Amino acid sequence: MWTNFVEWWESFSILRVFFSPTVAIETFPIVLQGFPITLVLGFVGFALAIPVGLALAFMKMSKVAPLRWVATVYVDIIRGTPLLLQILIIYMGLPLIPAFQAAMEPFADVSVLGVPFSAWFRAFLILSANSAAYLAEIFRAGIQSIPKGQMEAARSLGMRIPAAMAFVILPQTIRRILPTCMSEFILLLKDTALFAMVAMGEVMLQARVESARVFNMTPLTVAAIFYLIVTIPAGRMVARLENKLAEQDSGAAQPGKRSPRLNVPSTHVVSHRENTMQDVR
Amino acid sequence: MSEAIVKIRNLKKTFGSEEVLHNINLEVDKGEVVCVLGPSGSGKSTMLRCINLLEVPTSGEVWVNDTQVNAKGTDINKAREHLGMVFQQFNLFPHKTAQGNVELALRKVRKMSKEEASSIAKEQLERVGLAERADFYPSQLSGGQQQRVAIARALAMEPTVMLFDEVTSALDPELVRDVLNVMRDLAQAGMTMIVVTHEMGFARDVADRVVFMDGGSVIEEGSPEDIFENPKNERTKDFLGHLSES
Repeated sequence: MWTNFVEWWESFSILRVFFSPTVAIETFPIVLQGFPITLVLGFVGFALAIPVGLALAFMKMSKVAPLRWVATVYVDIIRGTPLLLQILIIYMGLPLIPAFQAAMEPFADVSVLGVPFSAWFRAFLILSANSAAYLAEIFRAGIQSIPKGQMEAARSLGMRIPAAMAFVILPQTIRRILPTCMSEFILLLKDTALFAMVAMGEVMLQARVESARVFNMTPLTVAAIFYLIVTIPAGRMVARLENKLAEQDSGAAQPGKRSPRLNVPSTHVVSHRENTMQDVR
Repeated sequence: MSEAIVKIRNLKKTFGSEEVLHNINLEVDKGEVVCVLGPSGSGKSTMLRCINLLEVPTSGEVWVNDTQVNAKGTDINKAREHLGMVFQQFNLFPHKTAQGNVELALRKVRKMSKEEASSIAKEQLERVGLAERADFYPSQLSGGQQQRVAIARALAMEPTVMLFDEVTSALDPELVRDVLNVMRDLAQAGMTMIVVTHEMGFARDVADRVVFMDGGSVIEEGSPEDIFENPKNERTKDFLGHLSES
């Protein structure tokens, strides 16, 4: 039955080239080997980007002009150049520096998932530095979308600025920017494919090597499935979060129920994401 | 001799090139309720916000409890603990319940234990008649209820002076009364209050003194009877006249 089906399927060259069941079964385990690497790059890279992005956001809003300049120039450079370029420069460049070599010396024998420590280090550096620049804008817009009265209320109760930020402003910001941040995570995860260019051994590299070996596109289709396993559920979660927030906001907008100033809709930030996502990248 | 708890001396405030407060002088005694009236744009809110330094005075002195709050070395956070403020837009924390709103500063500023803060929060919500709404979020409360939570939140810090900035202006008319009643009780309990308001009835009944401001200056001040029955200044007459017509 199955053999007949496969024979029939592969008799069409277009089906055979893009998705040959035989090749898929043969190369699936190899592409799978790259999947944990892709996941670690995505999750850890993004986790590291959050504190850096937050720091950049505060620098951009700082009263100290040089801090603002540094953050602005940084964000402009990162957002204005291709990630691939950043990967090539940093990933290939760092090992040429003797001080970096010396710093990595103690970890020479450490490797995780078959990837040496030094490679992980450089990859996380690039991913967090890159994603932080995008997150910084999301964080800044989110923080500034919180009505001024919130800070004033917190301050009038004797709270200092850091406490007011931590307990009043940021909790409200997180709620608003969560969908946007998750979209940013999806972007980052897909962008890890660029590490195939420096042979990180993630899904994309495995698929490309296999594809070249068997002279067929099927391994790349398999790679696509691996990305979709993560990105589709994550995308659904974003949509659900956005609906939920929109619902909460409209539910609160009944006449006399809430002050107009508290009703800044979450779309304020959501619309900002479109800028962040579409330009530059 | 009465002891002034808030003293404002030669207060000036400019925004850009525009001077919005010219030489304000005002003293408020302990336990006194002062209502500040005036047309919008007359600087009354700005004056109030200068007292707890939400606006920084351009020049002049603001004293609260014998501390000059706008002096260089003053810890404004300490000073603000004695100054409760209630805003026109309530400014409740939307991510916290009514109870959570009242507890937050007790926990984070006063460093109270959860139990201590919780019992004070309950007490204060009881005081504004919202004990049974403690677990509601601001979005689940009416404007009047939200404003009473905001009052409870300020009272929980045991301020020596309460500042009210047009606290009923954003409310539907039928919700105004509950908020004013809470303020009336507070005045009767001897709280020192500076109330920027458009509620003439409240000012007439509750105020010990009424201050009329226009164009960034104090035009006239006196007892409610003086101001309402027998205003001396043309602008005061004009303002009160307009109100009675409408």
